[in-house]
Amino acid sequence: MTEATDFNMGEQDRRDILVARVVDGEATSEDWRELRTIAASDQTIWAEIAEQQDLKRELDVAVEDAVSVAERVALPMHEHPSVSPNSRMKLALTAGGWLAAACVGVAWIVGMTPQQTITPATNGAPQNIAMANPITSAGEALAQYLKLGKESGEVLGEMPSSVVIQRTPNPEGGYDVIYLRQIVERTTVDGVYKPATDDTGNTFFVPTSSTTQAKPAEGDAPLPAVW
Amino acid sequence: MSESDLIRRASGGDAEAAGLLWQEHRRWVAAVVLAHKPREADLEDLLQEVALVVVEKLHQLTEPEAFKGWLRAVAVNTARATGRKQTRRKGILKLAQHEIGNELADDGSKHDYVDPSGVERAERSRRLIDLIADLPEAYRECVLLRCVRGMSHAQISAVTGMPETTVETRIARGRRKLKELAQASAPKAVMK
Repeated sequence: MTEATDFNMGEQDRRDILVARVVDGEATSEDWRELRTIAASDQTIWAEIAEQQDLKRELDVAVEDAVSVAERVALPMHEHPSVSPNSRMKLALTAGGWLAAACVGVAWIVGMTPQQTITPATNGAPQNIAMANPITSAGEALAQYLKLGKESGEVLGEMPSSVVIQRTPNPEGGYDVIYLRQIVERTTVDGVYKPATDDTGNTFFVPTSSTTQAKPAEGDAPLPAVW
Repeated sequence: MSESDLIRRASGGDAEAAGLLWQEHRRWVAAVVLAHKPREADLEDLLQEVALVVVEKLHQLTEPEAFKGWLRAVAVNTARATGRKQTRRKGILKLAQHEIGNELADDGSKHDYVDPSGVERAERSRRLIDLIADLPEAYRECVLLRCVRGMSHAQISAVTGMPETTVETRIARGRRKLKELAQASAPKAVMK
């Protein structure tokens, strides 16, 4: 009786552990001796090891890919209890001088974070401080963002059409609509890369020098030259 | 600075220390969330939730030795509690992606950069992650953690609070079951 299913639970566990140790490169000489003893009556264990090695290779890649989203998640430090109005002021004084600190002070009053109120100019000094008219609605904030972004060249404009995601009748009349607004931004990067995969399945990035511009779909109006 | 010092400073309100601590641990936290979240819940959204809880509650941690277990508990609780609430929203987002995907499909020029082998690999990875979700819960977390930068049995034990021998057994059993699931889900050849 050499089939794996004939092992009782303890033997099956031992076999699984030995296979796992070999696959992980952690098998001791004692483990190898035990493996050879098993293989003397059941050679399928070698195939099992080979299959598990393949699986582990793919598993490592899949899990590393999946958990790599964590690199994009930072602690929301503005929620940190230690970041009180006073410490915000201190932080700004250290990082950006008295002017930035003044902005943070006002931003705290209107309930905004420093990033929302200060647009760095090319020389590193803060500019366009939206303090004169405190922002009181999301619409005003968006308009301000578009205005400042266009001035700095970081925002080209908003696409004229929105994408409707969901539309449901509202009991009080009309529809509740969930939609995407599309805003076109510009940034400067050191290089542009595209993903490629080598023979062993590892992903690497190769620089691409082509200047790619997405063409509008047929029938679509061309993007306006001036926003 | 030792990790204990970092934890003490972070729990004492040092935002920079908290940030460093998070950077050091967030990948395995992602694996824990992945192990316990509902299938349709979005991993990145849940990690944002975990990060928020960490910021809000870290000051309650008094023992640095308890940090990993505490962080795991936050991840598990967030994945279980928040995951279900997000399922509906994810459905909506998927619809949006679908519609945008259709728009892109109409415009062949936007597919120039797609590397077929990369797409194939991504598809294989997605299927494997789906299969992991079918593993018994007891095995999922250990199997996933083992893949995060080759975490050792001792490190997994420190996170989960399980004895190392239990960790090793669960990984070994989990991998065998995963292989069986993969074989069962593979397209079968038809003999004529």
